[in-house]
Amino acid sequence: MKNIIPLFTLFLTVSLNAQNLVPNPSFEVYTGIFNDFMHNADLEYATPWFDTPAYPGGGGNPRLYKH
Amino acid sequence: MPLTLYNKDTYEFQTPKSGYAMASFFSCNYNEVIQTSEPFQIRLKEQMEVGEIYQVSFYIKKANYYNSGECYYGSDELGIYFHTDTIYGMAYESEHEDISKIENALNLYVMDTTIWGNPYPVLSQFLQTPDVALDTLINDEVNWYLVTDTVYADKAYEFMTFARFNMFENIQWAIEEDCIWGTAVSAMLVDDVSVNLVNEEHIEAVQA
Repeated sequence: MKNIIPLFTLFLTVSLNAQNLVPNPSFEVYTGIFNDFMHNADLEYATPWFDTPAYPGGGGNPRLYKH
Repeated sequence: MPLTLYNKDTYEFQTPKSGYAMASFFSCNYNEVIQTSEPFQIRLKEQMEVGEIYQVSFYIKKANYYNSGECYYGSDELGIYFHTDTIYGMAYESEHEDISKIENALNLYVMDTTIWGNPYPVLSQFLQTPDVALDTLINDEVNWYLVTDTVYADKAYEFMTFARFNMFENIQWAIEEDCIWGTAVSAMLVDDVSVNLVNEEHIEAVQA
């Protein structure tokens, strides 16, 4: 069984296209100023991710959201 | 909607799946009358190829911001919707004032501003069906849960949206009895999002 798992993993790795179509998939690339204590910032700092109003013309202001 | 960074300080409580950052957001709120959501989006590196199948995956766990004294409910509500339409966001809204004027703007919801005379718009109908949806209730604040599914690209999808897609009554909840009303929302963390083209050999392996 120990030999099967690595082979299966290798097969999946080869079978999947190498390119992830999602840019910045782990949110590691970011810019902007973070709250030093909370270590939080708006998601849009993790470009090109961005949050959006929940509906056209509305949704409040996510930049003001604190937790 | 914050991007939560983990810097290994002692007061940090939840760790990313990988690296030092993860996204956090409200997937839905526990309120039958005022239903809200906090979607977020991204433009893919390139359009999906029509007729191809893609493996879509991400990791998720429940957020709990202990250092703020708040707590949140678990739920099974979160989906991914792929689309070709123009996407909208805060930047578009500030530029156009009326977001509805944007051609082909994606509309996930119908809103009702008449309920209780409340000026805060309420989502009264969900218009889209997610291409990928949670298949379990997420209430674990420690362990990451892998959500993975395949999506057939019947169009050249270029945009990917995480959002809420179901009304209150269709959501399974894990209630935290100690939560006050104001924090009765389902907050989630997401990390390591991927969309990969899958070839025929992989499909056969999955089906076997």
